[in-house]
This record gives sequence, C-alpha cells and structure tokens, in this order.
Amino acid sequence: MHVIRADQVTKTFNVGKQPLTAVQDVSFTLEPGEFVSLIGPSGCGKSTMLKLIADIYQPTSGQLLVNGRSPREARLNRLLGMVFQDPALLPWRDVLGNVLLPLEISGRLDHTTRRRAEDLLHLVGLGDFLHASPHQLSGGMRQRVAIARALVLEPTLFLLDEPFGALDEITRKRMNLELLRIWTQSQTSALLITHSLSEAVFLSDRVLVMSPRPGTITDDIRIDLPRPRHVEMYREPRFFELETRISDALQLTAGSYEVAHE
Amino acid sequence: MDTNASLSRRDTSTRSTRKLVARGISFLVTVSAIVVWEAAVRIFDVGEFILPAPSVIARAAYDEIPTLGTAFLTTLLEALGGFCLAILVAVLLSVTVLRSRTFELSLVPWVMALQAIPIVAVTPIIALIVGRNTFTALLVAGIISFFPIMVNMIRGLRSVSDEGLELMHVLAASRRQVLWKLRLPASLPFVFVGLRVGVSVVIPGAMIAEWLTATQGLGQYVINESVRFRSDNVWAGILLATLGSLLLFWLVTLVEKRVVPWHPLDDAGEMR
Amino acid sequence: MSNERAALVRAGVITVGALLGWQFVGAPLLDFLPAPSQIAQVLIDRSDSLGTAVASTGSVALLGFLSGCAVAMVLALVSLSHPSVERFILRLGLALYAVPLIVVAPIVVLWLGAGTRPRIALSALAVFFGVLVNTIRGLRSVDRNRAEFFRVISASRWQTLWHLRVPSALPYILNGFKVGAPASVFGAVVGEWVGANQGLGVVLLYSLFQYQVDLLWTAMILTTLLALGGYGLFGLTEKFLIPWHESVRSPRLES
Repeated sequence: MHVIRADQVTKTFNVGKQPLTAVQDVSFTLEPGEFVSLIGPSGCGKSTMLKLIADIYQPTSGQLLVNGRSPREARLNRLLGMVFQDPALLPWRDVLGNVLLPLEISGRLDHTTRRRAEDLLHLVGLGDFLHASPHQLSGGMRQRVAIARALVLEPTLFLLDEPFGALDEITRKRMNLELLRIWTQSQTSALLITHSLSEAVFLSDRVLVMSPRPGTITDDIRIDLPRPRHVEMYREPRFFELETRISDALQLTAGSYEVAHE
Repeated sequence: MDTNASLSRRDTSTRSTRKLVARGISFLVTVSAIVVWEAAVRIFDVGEFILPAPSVIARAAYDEIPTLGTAFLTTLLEALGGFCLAILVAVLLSVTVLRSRTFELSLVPWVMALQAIPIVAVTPIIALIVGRNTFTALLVAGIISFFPIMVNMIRGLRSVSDEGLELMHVLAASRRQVLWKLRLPASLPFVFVGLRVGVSVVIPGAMIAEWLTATQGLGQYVINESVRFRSDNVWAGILLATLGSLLLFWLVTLVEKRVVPWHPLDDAGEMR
Repeated sequence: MSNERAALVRAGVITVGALLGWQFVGAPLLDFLPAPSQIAQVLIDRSDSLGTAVASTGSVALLGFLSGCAVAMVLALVSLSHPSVERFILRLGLALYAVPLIVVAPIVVLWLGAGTRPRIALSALAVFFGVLVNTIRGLRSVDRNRAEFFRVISASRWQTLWHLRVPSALPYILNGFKVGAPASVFGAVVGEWVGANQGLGVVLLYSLFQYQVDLLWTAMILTTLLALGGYGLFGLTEKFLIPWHESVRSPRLES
C-alpha cells in the first residue's frame, strides 16, 4: 500500500469570477519509508499540494489517498505529523508542554507517551531545555521543538513545509543533518516541500519537480546516493550531477531563469 | 501560501461590488431595526416613559427644533473649539518634547498623570477654575480629546525608521528639515488615529460639562427634559448627540483620506 | 548616558520645584488651588466620610466591572459561532458605545429606578464595549500556522477553543480589563451624579456647589486613585498571567 497516492489531483480556488488553478492533474506516489521532496519555484502550488494531503484544503477533482484512506480519515486517525516554516509553537507553554500538546489533544497522554516526548526532545538535542519558553529559543531550536511535536504521535507520514526556509544557510545545513538522523530513527515516510536544491538532494530518495501556473509535476528524479548520508557527499561529483539535473528541470519547465534565484 | 499573492490581486475587482452589497444590507438592517422598534412599541404597548417609538421621537424633535437646534449648535461649537485647541496644544507640545529631553522627562510624567484623572473628576475642577460657563465645556472637550492626539502624535514622530534618519543624515538635512520632510509626514497616520479617537469623545465631553455646570447645550437639555420626565425629548437629544459625533468622526475620516492617501490605517473598519 | 542622567536630574529638579511652587506660591495666590498640605489635612479630617464615599463608589464600580465583563465575554464567545453573529454583536456594541454614557444615564435611571442598580448598570455599560472588542479581537487573533497545526492534529472545536483561542486571546482580554477598570469608576460616578446620596460623585458635586475647594481636589485625587488602582491591578496581573507575551520577556538562551 502506498503512503500517498495522488491521482490526477486538481485544486482550483474560487476567487471572484476567475477561478485560479493552483494544482493541476498531479499524480505521484510515496512508498513506505521513503523520503520525497517536492521542489519548485514560489507559486508552483507545492504548498497547496501539501495542504491537500494534510486535509487543510480539499481537492477540486482527482483522488488523493493517504495510507489507503482519505486525507480526512488519515488526519482524524492522527497519521500525520506536520512541520511548518513558522514553528507555530504556543508561547504560553514551555518546550515540553508544546510537545505534549498533540498527546493531550488525542487523549493519549500517559507515562509512556510522556517519556516518549522527553526522549524525542533529547533526540533533537533539547534535553536541557524541557522547561524553557519558546521565546527564549533561537530559530533553529524552535524548529527542532516543532519537529519533536510532529513526531510525538508516531505518524505514518511526516509532512514538512519548508521547515528550514527561514533559517540561515549554516543552521540549515546543520538542521538537515539532524533531520536525517531523527527521520532515520523514526522510520516514518516523509514529504518535504523545499526550494533548496542541495537540501532536496541531500535528504531525499526522490525529488519531484513542480512547475507553476498551473502547478504540475514535470519530473521525478531518483536520488541514488547511498544511505546513510554524510556531509562529505556534498562534495561528491554525483551530488553535483543530481543538483544540476534538478536545476535543469526547473529552468526548462519554467521557461526562464527567474526560478534560479530561490 | 504560494498562491496568495496572486489571489488577492484578483480579489480587489470584486471588492467594490461586495462593499456596495454590504452597504445595502446594513442600510436595510438599520431601516428594519427602526420598523421593528416602532412596531414593538405599538404592539406591546410600551409606555412612552420606558421607550418612545421612533415616530414619537421624530415628532418631539420636530416640535423642539428651536430649543434643540440652539442646544445642538452650542454643543457642536464647544466641541469643535475644544478639539481645535487640543490639536494646537498637542502639536506644539509633541514637537517640543521631541526637541528637548529635559522637557520630555519633566513634562511627560505630568501628562500621563493628568491623563489618568477620570474626566468626571476633572470637570468639577475646571468648572471651579473658569467658572460655570460655556468655556468649561470647551475646555473639557479639549482636555478629553487632547490625550489621544498627543500620545499618538509623539508615537508618530518617533515612528521614523533608522534608515530614514540615516538618509537625512547623509543628505546633511537640518533639524527643521528632518522634522518637516520626515517626522511630520511619518506621524500623520498616527495623528489621525489619535484624531479619530479624540473626535469621538468631544461631544460627550462637552455634554458632561454642560450637564454639571447646568449652563446650556445638549447636555443641559437632556438632563432638564429627563427631570421633567419628557422621555421623548430626552431621546431626541440623545439621538442628536450621537448624530453629531458621527458627523464629526466622518469629517475627520474625510480629511484623513485627502491628507494621508498612502497609509490607510483601517482599525475602525475592522470593527465593522 | 551622562547626558541622560543630566536630563533626569534636571527633570527631577523641575518636578520638585513645581511641587514646592504649588505649595508656597501657587496655592496662596490662586484661590481655586489648595496646597498639597491642605489636601492632606482634608484626608485626615474627613477620613470617615471620604472612606464611606470611596467604598460606595468602589463597590458599585466593582459590581459594574464584573457584570460588564461577564456580559461582554459571553457575547464574545457567542460571536464565535458565525461571522454574521459576530458582526451583529459588534454593531450592537458599537451602537451602545456611540451613545455617550452621560446621556443614557437619565434613561437608565428612568428604567431601573433609584438605588444602586442603575449605577451598577451604567458602570457595566461603560466597561462593556472595551472588553467586548478586545475579547473578540483576541479570539480572532489566532495565528494561521497554529490554527493549521491544530487542524492537522485534528483537535476538536472545544480543544481548539481551550488550548489555542483562549490563551491567544488572553493578552487582549487583559488589555480590555485594563481599559475597563477606570471606565467602571467613570460609569459609577456618572450614575451617582444622576441620583445617589453617597459616593465620590456626590462629594465632587457637593464640594463644587458649596465651593469647598480643598474637598473638591481631595475627591478628585481619590477618584483618580480608584481608577488607577484597577488599571494597575491588571497591569500586574499581566506580568503573572502572560509572561510569554512581548511585554514581559526575558532574553534568549543561546544554543
């Protein structure tokens, strides 16, 4: 069974008289244990795609299945873990409180799960900050809390919406390594939205390239770098080849060079 | 959201029609509210003493035009006079505060302390000082509207960005130029926030003073009529006062649209 | 820094000078201005009757504050049910607010008769709008990302209300209380002007018409302190209840 099966998914927003198609006829699958990235320029509908999977939007047409069920069922069964670009932590709860929240909401808070939350925070390197306030943390630390929060319900599908988009390049690289380590231990499937080529290559098993207006998937590139991945790979020729391949796909599909700026 | 930017642009084309529809609806709601009020008073036979019907109030207003008109004009003039005085003093003080730190440190705490005095406690003091006459009402209206204008004006003068100040520095602008070319224009949106808050309290302020000093104007009229148990006249006075406030508020908004077209601060619209 | 200190010292000198000038120059020259010492004297001499007045006004203001807040917050919660309900409630609130309290006072007294009831009602009315607007704004202020997060973990309506909306609204609600506390005193005094036999409003009126200058100033100061007291109380509450808000924050840790 596929973790995600998208079949001719189209999403049209009704704004005024003119409908705006954000995503058109998108089909792809995501297999258990796979790490897939969706990459594309701003406005290509990749965030919309993610929000369709998270049941924040509903598709206008086409079929979308998460673990063989509708996104709504998947959400209600807490199969989803999601990390946003903005960590969206609750400022009135401390770090641990934020990670415990999904457990409280789903009524699964007990000794074991509490222990799990603490372990997760140790795993993301915040073991010493369980009772710190979110506003005391740096941007990277906040995002780690958000990752722990997304994983605490042991989701089948881990959705990441440009989680490191607001971080500086150095922190971002470090967070990529961390994410890889955490994801390897959690054994969930992951879908990452990004517009960083190296991030996509470094993390993924497959990279789906999207083009805008309307948003469609134009290429599906397999990243054949071996796992476990390590920092030296950034320097390998194969890494460059893959990056170039994606870069070409993006520029050809967009028909201009403006996308290269991201 | 990736698509939002392009979405909102399309949104504006329908916004004007939507606004028109909203206006139409609110007009209908107002009209039907008046109809319901009238009908309810008649059907349930509510005593005029408790709540007079709109028609009765209109009738009372018509009959009372000479008295009510004079009272309204008096209050309006007091309110406007006080408002202008408040603007003048607020502008002078805030510009001075900006220039001298000593002046700021010795003045601002007093302004803050004065602001904390409830208007009901200030009014008797003003009446004590200037006597129980029209001038009290003017001063009370001025004082009550002064604080929001002053506070927002200072905030506005301070709202200029560091980049703006650095630019002026590179251009070797004089203090006066920085004030006129940068600080004052930057403060305008804030000043109008203060003006809108201030203008909506000048009529109530003047009325409190009229009421207390029992001189003339709408405040005194309303209290007189309520003592005579003429609730229809009281309601006519209340509605007229409210209309006056709305009129002044609308005037300020009108001026704001002409003077500050580049920065629509729409917090009043948000409440609607 | 030394400039700042110099300005502070100068400001301090000016303030002390102003107080001394008030005591020894202003007060003797101006017959409407009692000296600070005279005000202190009145406070001591009339502590009994002034105490009763403060208690009377204070209790009316407190009851008015509580009932005004209660009504406003219930309506704010109701307004969450549908945007059109919210629009209706806000418009109703705005209409009530647009009518000056001072002119509704006689009507309220006509409706509720003598006694403390009309005074409490006026005080509640004065408090109502500020709390309503702030609470509604607060409940709506929920950050979009946080709202989407609550959707993804499929929190129920009530869970979202309790864990997200209410805490998000807290700074706004407290701000409404802060604005409302002095307003409740204002409403109570207006109520006393229309009809009461005790309270600070009565003292203010009585001393004005009797030309008891020192008593008038003392009553003014007491009214101010009463209004400020409520404001300060909620200012303190803020520090304890919302330590995570921008207004009260400690510096960041370094990772």
